[in-house]
Amino acid sequence: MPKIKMPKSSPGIDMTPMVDLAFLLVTFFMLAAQFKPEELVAVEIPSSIAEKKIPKENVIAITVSPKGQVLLNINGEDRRVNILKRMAEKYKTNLTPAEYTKFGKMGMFGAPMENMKQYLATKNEGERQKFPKLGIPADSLNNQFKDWIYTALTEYHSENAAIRPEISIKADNTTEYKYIQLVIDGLRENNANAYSLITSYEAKQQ
Amino acid sequence: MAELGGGDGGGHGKHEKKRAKKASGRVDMTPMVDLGFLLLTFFVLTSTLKEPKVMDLVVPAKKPQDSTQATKFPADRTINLLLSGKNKIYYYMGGKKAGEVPEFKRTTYSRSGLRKVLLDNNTRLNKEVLALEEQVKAGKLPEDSLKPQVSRLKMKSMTQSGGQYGLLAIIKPADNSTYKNLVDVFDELNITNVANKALVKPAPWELEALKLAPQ
Repeated sequence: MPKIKMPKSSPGIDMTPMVDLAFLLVTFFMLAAQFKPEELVAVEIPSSIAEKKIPKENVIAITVSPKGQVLLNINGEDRRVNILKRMAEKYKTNLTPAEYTKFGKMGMFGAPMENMKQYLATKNEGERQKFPKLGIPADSLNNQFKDWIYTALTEYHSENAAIRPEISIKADNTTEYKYIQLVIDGLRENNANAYSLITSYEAKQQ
Repeated sequence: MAELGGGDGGGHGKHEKKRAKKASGRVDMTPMVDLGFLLLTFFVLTSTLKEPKVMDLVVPAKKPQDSTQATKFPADRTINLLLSGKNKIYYYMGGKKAGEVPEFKRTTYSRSGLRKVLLDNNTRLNKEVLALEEQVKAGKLPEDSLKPQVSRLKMKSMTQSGGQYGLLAIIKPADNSTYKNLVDVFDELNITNVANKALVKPAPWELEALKLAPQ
């Protein structure tokens, strides 16, 4: 049997196609990536067949944690500051201009008005996540949530009466319904009766 | 081009050796490739490709007093869904007659459970909606006309002149049911094309009856 002649090939492999592919993927992921905004509470959302896209503008986003803590996010820095000013007036809380600015930059928030000063003194997201009184009270004894929604709707209305802010509710799979009920009650008190429940998409099977 | 083993390896050796005295035309791309892979890993791990969607929920407007709604609808077309703790779901048809507690039937959130119950009670409307969807798929109807047509059909199916065959679902979640249960029920109602749905607080007698319901 003749010996099979192994071709003398170079030990180096041409990696061009692989690198090309890698860069293609980098480009794809860079363009397609949607960064998760920092969240104060971890929320795992249920799935549904709903196909409607999440609203981006003029949103009042409500998040309910598994423990029932209610958090709010309203887009627009100036708008948030104005809303807090209205709330501070109502609850007779004295806040400094620096605190207002900080609040404007915060995004999602959730603290009782009486603890707002301490809440605004937190340095970063991590400290806020551990804030002992995290969450806006929404029970009937001390319904600050209702007032937040009221002030937010008033603020939107004073900006532009034609805009109807979208109210989205995001809650964890395990959040008990009683907390959702409190949120819905607070919204209904303000005549806000249509909401968007945030779910992840799941294909429909008949 | 990125190649392992630097510039001297490879079949082009001879050819290159001749030009070796001149500066090599090749740039060492290894660092760039490294960076590329680093970025790739970063984006793969941090990106959330699946953007969440939203499901619409409309609740009845607040009235001076919450009047009983169920009485307005014929009993045979109303299904009451009671969501209880530990992922249990019960249902009963129609309203409550005086001095009589309707029998609660237990079902599950699965396809063979709740979906079957809903489909059995909403066969005609569901078929009509599916037929409309088929027509859109076949290109006989424009796509954007589907939604208004479906909602018109649903409305019509509830009225007297329309034949009164659409199913009305009243969802009554107990305090200890979860948000997932609520979304699941709404999802099933959407899948089975139920004509109308209402989210209502369970009545005290229903909560009492839930305790006695079969486990």
